[in-house]
Amino acid sequence: MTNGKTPRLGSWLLKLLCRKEYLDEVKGDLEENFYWRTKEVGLRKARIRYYLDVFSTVRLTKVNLSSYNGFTRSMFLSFIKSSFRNFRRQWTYTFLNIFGLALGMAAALFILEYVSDELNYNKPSDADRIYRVSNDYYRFKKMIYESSMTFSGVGPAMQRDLADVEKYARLFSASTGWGGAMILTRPDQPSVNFKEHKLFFADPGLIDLFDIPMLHGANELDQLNTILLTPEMAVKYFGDVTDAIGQTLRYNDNATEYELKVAGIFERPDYNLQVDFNVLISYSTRAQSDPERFENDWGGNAFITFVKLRQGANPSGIEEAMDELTLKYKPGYLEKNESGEYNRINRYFLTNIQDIHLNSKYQNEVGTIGNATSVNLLQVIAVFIVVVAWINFINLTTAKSIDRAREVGVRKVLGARRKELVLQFFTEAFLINLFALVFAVGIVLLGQGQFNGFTEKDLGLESIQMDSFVVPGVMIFILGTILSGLYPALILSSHQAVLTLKGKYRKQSGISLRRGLIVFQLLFSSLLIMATLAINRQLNYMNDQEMGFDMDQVLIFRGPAIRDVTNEAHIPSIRTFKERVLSIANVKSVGTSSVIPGIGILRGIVLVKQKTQNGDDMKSIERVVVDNGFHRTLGMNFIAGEGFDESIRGFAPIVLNEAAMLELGFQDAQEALGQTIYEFGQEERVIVGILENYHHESLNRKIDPMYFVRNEAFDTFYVIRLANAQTASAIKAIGNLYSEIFPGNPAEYYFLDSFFNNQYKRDEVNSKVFSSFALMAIVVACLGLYGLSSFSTVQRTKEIGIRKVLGAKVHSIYYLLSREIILLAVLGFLLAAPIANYGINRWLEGFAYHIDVKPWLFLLPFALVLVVTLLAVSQKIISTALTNPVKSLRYE
Amino acid sequence: MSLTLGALEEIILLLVLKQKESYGAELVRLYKDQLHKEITLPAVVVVLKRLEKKGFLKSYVGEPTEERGGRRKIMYEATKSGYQVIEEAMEAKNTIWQMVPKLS
Repeated sequence: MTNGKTPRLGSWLLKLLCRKEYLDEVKGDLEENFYWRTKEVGLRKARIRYYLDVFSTVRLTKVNLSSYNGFTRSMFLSFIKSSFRNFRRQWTYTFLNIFGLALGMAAALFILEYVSDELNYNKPSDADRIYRVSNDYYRFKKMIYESSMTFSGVGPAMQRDLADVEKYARLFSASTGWGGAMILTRPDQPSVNFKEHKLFFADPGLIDLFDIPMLHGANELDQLNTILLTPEMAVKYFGDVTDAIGQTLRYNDNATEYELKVAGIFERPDYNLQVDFNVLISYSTRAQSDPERFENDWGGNAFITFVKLRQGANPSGIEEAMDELTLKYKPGYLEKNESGEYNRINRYFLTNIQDIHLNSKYQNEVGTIGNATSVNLLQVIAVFIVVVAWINFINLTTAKSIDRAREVGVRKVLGARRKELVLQFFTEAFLINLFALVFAVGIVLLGQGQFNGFTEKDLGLESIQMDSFVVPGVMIFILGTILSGLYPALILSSHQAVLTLKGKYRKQSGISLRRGLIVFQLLFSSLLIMATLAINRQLNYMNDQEMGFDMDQVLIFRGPAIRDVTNEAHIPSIRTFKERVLSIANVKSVGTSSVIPGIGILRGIVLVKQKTQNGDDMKSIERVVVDNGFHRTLGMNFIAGEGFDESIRGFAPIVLNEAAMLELGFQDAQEALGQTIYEFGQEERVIVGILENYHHESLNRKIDPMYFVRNEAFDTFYVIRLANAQTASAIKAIGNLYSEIFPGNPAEYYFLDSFFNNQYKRDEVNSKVFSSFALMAIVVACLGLYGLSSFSTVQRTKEIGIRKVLGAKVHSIYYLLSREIILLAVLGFLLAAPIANYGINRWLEGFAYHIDVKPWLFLLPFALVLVVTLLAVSQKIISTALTNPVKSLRYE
Repeated sequence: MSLTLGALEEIILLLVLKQKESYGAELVRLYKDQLHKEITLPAVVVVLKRLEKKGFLKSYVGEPTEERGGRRKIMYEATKSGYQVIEEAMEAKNTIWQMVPKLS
């Protein structure tokens, strides 16, 4: 472009925007400005200013249309005016249209909010090259465990030995997986102490990897004895955010105690953290006391490890390289069997941090886990609900077309061209869609609280992700508007003027399409209802299922973290606590254990039938440490033998569950009883009881083999059974006792049944989400059916009058008019049932224990859809059928 | 139509008076020189048209120049009532300004 020439595109825009009589003047002025600006600030800036000027010429637009192209403008205004007239004249129909569309769009907006939030996990700026390291473990070709966490040595070794690894960060928590408790105390005010559940020991790199913003202070996680808090935590302990910096907090868990300096305040990033933390303590603090275990260990899988790869690095290449690394650091794993295969194998996997939330398969995953299938399904549902709403709109409008045939005829006679008629109907469609959108936003704003309540999220319209949803959303909206407007517009404008004016126009247009669309609507609604029903039945089934133990009225207290003596020496205090708890009225029994039902199992402990060193015979069975009272308190049943008892002395007893008994190769319980087996291949254990299988975890998992050994010192959990009366006072008494015997430990308790049922929370949320959208879909579909049927009935008023005169009964007329819709509903059902059958079976496969798919699971929703459909169409049909034929035949 | 002046109208009218006669492009430049702020041309043109409608400005067709791509410019000149209305406005403001207690 030569100097002084204004951009071509600009002058074209100018012509479009600017009022004609000013065009010359403005163009000249702009060109002059452009000329001196080029000299003054350079061509680039001058051009930017020029475009700014051109765009703001919009303010000179107003009269442009009338003088530039008077016809277009007045025509356009007339379209809008006649649209509104038409809306007013047929307000019920317009209302049905707008309301249906608005409901559909609102449902879609809700879903988009939900889905956006589910997809917004772990999104720091370099997320695409940050991975989480997990590993599995095979021994003698048998998988022992799969773990989302890995060893402490893995992160440092990867950075040291692999060129493609730029940085690593580990998270360690005393409570991950095994129920330890972590307590923070203010040393100057010891009464200020809380158990923290989102506390982690973290490497300094974590802050960089996750783009965590520091509000105050600095990321001093590279130093010893430093702690970072969120503002909420700072307020909780110190009353104020800025006061917290430089203060001291004391950390305790079952094993350690540290005095920590508050070095900084960090904020959670604007995306969701899959592993949520609100307290970070420098990793080196924990590592200094036991560097072998915390810096260079290759056996204990308790460390959430993140690595950042260099640009362009290939994660699967790293996974392969890790095999070599294992052999380098775990020389014991070099051992091979006769056929030259390694006896023990660790394999490592890199999962991109963005994929953890929705695509995790690990039983011991820390943090929030979602479900990719339901997120995908919801997106499909969102699109379908809007489509159903648009189908309504198309159906209603084309059905109406006969009604408006005369209007089209008059317009044509008066010289309207087809193009203009299309434009007019199109304007109407666009206006209705626009109103619907406004209504939809209103519905979303009103219903947001409710929606957030049952999804347990903090959502709003602003949570909808800009880049991935707004643009496609707007495009779908525009496309939908065009499609839903275009078809009726074409149908409506095609009527022939002469025929319509003669009143002979009776051709029903687009009937087969309309029927097809109704079938689709009913199909979709029945599908949603079937899915909802199946989810509900499965949830009820899981809640009602016999669990094998009695979880009602069982109170759980977490064991104390702060103790001044070692494990063995604190047994007296545990005994005292248990004795005094038993003396409280309403307490029936008490026990301790290392895990409680509802906590995930990671098999990895070895049990064998014969004393051996040979790994081939070893079985991996979950180990639980309990006291004499545990089984009794939970009301578990023994098939053979008894539980642990005071009278068992002089040998080490063991209790197996049925699954473990079978895994070890015993045929029946009587055979197993009294046998000696070996823990860790060496330690003698005598079987004193076989426990009936009970569901330790949710019903989506098969019952794992488990065994129980006795040790009074493991009081990670206290299980306390209460009598039914006066629970509150008992809890209070136990709480007081707890504070008295374990001073400095906040008493924390919950009921076992609610803890256990927490495992079903995700399914419950799903069920609520699905049922509410199913409801919305069916309401939208019914609105359409109601409008359609009332319209087609009105069309046949005269016919019905004649039939009545000739002696037809009301019920035969009803049958005549509702027959079609019933046929369509049946067709929809026939198509929906196989799809639903497939989907429900796939979903149920995820549960080890599930309901059987029975025919009524489909027939009930079908009956429901049929009834609701008939209700929607009946009112108008019956009222028409009851009309005195004199009234309907009088005119003409 | 109100015959009082908005803030931007006042400035533009003053600038026209200062130049005796002026046109859009020049006013954009003057506005920047005097007030050190950028303004878009259409904003100026809108104000000019409004002032003309109110009778404070009159316009005539000026000479075409090379840098305008050969287009004629529309020149604006203040009318007598234009001069008066700005005089009144400035006087009123000045009187009040005199009464404001001085800070330093």
